[in-house]
Amino acid sequence: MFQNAQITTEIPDIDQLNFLKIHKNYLWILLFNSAIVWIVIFIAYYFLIDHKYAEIYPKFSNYDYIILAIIVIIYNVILIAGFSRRKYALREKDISYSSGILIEKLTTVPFARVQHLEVDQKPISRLFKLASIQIFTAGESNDDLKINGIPKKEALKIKEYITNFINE
Amino acid sequence: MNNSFNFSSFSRQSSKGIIVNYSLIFYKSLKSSWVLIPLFFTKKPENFSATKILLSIALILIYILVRSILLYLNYKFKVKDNNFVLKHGILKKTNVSIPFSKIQNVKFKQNFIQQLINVTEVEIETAGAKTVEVSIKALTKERAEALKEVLFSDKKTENVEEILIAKPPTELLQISPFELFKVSISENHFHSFLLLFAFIFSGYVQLKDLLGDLVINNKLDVLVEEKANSLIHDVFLVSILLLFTFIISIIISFVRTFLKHYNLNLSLKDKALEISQGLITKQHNIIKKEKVQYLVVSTNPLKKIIGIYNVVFKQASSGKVKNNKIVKIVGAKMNQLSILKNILFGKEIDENQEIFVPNKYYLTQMYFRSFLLLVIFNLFTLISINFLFINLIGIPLVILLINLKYKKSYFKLHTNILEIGSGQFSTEIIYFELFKIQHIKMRQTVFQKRKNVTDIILQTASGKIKIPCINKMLAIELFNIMLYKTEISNKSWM
Repeated sequence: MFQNAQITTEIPDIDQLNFLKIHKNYLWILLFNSAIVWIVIFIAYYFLIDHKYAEIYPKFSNYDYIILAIIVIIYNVILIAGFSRRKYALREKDISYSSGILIEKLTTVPFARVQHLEVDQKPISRLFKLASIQIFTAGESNDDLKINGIPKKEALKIKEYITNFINE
Repeated sequence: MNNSFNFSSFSRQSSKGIIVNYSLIFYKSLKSSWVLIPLFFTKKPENFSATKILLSIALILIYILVRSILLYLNYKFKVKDNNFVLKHGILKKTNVSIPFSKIQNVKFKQNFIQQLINVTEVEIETAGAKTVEVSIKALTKERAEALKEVLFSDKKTENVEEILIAKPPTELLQISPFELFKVSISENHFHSFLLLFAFIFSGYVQLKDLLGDLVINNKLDVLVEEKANSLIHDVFLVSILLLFTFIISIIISFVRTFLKHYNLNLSLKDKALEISQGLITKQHNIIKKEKVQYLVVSTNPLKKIIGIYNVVFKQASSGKVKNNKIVKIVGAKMNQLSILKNILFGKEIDENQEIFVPNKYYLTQMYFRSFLLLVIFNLFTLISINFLFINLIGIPLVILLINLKYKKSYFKLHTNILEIGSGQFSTEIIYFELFKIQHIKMRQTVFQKRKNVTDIILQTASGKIKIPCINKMLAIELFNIMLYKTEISNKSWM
């Protein structure tokens, strides 16, 4: 498509990545986290809106709990459906992560631009021996690459590979 | 190189630094405590005797003096093994060491007091994971120049020949007051207009809070309430206010442009661009070619007629993009622009490259989003029917802006440069070296997926660049090329 297309035949194609799915146990962690959040919201709603401030905030309708439940179901359906979209791919000189069902995202970081890496484990992830790897580049570092829910061994291997690449 | 200054052992800045420190601390404490000043007047006067007030002021002034002397005494720097070493701090001692290679920019500054006592402030900027900013408040002009040369010396040793032929700086651009006048009159006044309007509005709200109990205010409210019913009166009042704000915003544009860009001078010296500008605070920037992440050239219809362009140099920054990492010059002419592009990118920009425009879906997307916004705005009509008038101006304006935005967005792929056009009333063109991406992202909503288009977001060390709604095939190809160029390049991106 571009005029200098002669090089395009030999360059690696992002469309043919060998994606690896993240560990399926991570779904349980996601669901567990979501359960905690929604339970807190339900309790807060029950005690604050429904009981304590019932006079100030009139109940919206008799179906408010049903509406809330529908929101929870939609949220979790998106979570579960989106889970299979979370995948990553490692190539010789870059790492890619793809996710999202309503908004599909694919991010690729060339190793040559990596500033530093972090592998960390949250308490619940530790039970499943899962870890997350976060890759920082220069500039606004708020949405660099972060892959959650990969086996700790795998995460450390990736970390070592990239660290070696940078130090070469 | 100037050898009359020796930086190998620790040395202090010029003793005039005490004066600079003094004024800075004085200004800072005044700035942070001005809120308290009205308190002195509201309290009952018998609690304060003249001697007490004078005594406390004297004590504060002495404290500031002692502090500025101590600051001066404890601020030492030297150059060792291609590192700039700085020791500072009165109680909390800090030791900073910056390798020359990490130095991104050396800036000279002079505020009003520094100009009076004839000293220069030197700022050393770095980019990286942690921000280290060094600012030496007072050096003589000669010493500052010598320090700058030492700090940049490791770059020169790489090719010795260039030091021997110490080329005098080549003048690239010089803006006279008359040209600056043209620049400020063609400025986009809308921006300062909005700022001013927000300022007046918030000022009014605060004033109202402050004078809440005053009788005059009540009277005013009654007056306003009475008149509020007549719509003609409202329109008249608003249009006078708008005209007034507009005139002031033009004046502000003038003052801002002259303060910031007075005596603008751009020259090329030893492969680095030197820019100096400013009326009261003189700014002196040195931009190394490789540190420029990308270049933004902007103009607007009025400027286009006169044939002048603004240029912004975006450099690497850590954390949030700070204003001082963005160096802007104004009033560049077409031929000066192409010289500048040649210096930064070589002769790579080929005007005849194929132009790629966004997919038609981009228009649909923008219309859809503004439609949602418009619906929300129209909810206000439930409060007052007067809000319907917003639609009268709003809808044509939005349609115009959307179409302008669509027409002005395009991109061109040169051999090593990506050229991205955008803008609404103004026109902005970004020139970006392919290998300088930090990471690259493809983003596709479900609606975009149906049309097989996608957004591309390039993360640079100086913020994001978005290429909206291009065909998926094209996006993948661009994605591949950019990654490929980045991965085979061994040039330093900063």
